[in-house]
Amino acid sequence: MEDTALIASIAQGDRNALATLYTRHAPWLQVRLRRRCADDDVVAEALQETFVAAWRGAGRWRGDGDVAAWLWGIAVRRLVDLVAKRPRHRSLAGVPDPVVASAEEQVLLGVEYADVATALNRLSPDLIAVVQATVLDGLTTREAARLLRIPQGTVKTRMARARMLLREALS
Amino acid sequence: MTGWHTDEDWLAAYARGGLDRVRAASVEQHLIGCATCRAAVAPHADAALLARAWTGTVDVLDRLRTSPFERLLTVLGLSPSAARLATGASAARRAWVVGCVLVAAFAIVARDMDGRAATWFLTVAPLAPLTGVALAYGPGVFAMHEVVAAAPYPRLRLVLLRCLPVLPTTALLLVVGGLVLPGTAGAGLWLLPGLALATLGMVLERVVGVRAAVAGLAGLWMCGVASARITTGSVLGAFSPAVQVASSVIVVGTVVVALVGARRIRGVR
Repeated sequence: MEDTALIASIAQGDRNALATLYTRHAPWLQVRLRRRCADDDVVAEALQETFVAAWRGAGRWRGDGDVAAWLWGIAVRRLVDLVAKRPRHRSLAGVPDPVVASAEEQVLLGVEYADVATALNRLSPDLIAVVQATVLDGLTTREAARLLRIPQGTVKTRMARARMLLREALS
Repeated sequence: MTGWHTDEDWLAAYARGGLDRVRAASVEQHLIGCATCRAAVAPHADAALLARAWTGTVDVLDRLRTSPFERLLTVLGLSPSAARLATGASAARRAWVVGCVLVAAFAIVARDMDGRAATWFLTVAPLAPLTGVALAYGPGVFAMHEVVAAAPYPRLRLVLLRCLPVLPTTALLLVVGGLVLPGTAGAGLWLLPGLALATLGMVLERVVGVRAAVAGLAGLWMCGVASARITTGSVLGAFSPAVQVASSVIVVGTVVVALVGARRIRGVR
């Protein structure tokens, strides 16, 4: 069954449709969330809240756009809320994962791709985190600030700096 | 769909938390639009975590599965637990509805009778909620009576909560009664004395026991109807404005006492 048909069934209160949606989408959502938050409990809770929200909000689904994108939009915001709610919790999003590109990985990078890649990878972890949250995850400045636990103004200045550095590296 | 799919090694590295940011970002961008790669990344997910999150989701959904009546009560300001109690009270409603239908049928039959039957109906109708609430939840009838009695919960409040599902049914009965009986001023007249008797009955029940309370109040009400008949010449005297006002005072007073009691208990906690 198509994702959109599943959403329609869920809107009718079909639990099995939700189960199918979960088996189909929860795994990749979990992997993606897990890359942004090291705490399994938080990831599990975000996942749970995402599908509860999907259950409740299925009736408001307008049928345009991608179900996967819709779910990710919910999931990443749930994650932001949960991370913000736990004062002592430190999200991984602000912590750099060790970028140790192996030799073969370097080779795998295409030539034209390499410029952007090295430029991006050369950015400081702080800047990368902001780029990831705003550009790649599609969060607003405010949401990114909550996720990274930095002021909104800092998100903006870091984004501007990242943009400038990338422009320099690519020109 | 481009026909291009993410390399399996990349997916594995991505799921492990490896893969540099740029390639991770490109994988993520691709995943959003590609069901095949989403399925391919699934084996790398943490199965235990997924199972836990699904159990949690089902739990929440079960909690969400509330009846419209329960949701209405919550909207009206009751706490979710109180709303659940009131809804639970309607577990015994089936018998109650049967009783109401019988009385309503009696009323319809009574329409074609002379004034004598009307007298009977007037005498019985206000007792319906009283008897219903008291008997439905008294010992020997309500299986959970002992358990509920031992629970640290304000009894009076519990009773009022129990009236919530019962009274709409009764109101229906009374509306029917008001329609079929000529000369009655409306269903509201019927509801108030009944409601007052029900509340009084449950208050008295704590002192003298459920049977004595119901019997006593039933006797009092019938005496009232009889005396109204003697003094005013009509049983409708039992539904006079003075009686309505008195009933309202009793109901409002009891509700206030119950609320204050509940607040005091909450304060102690």
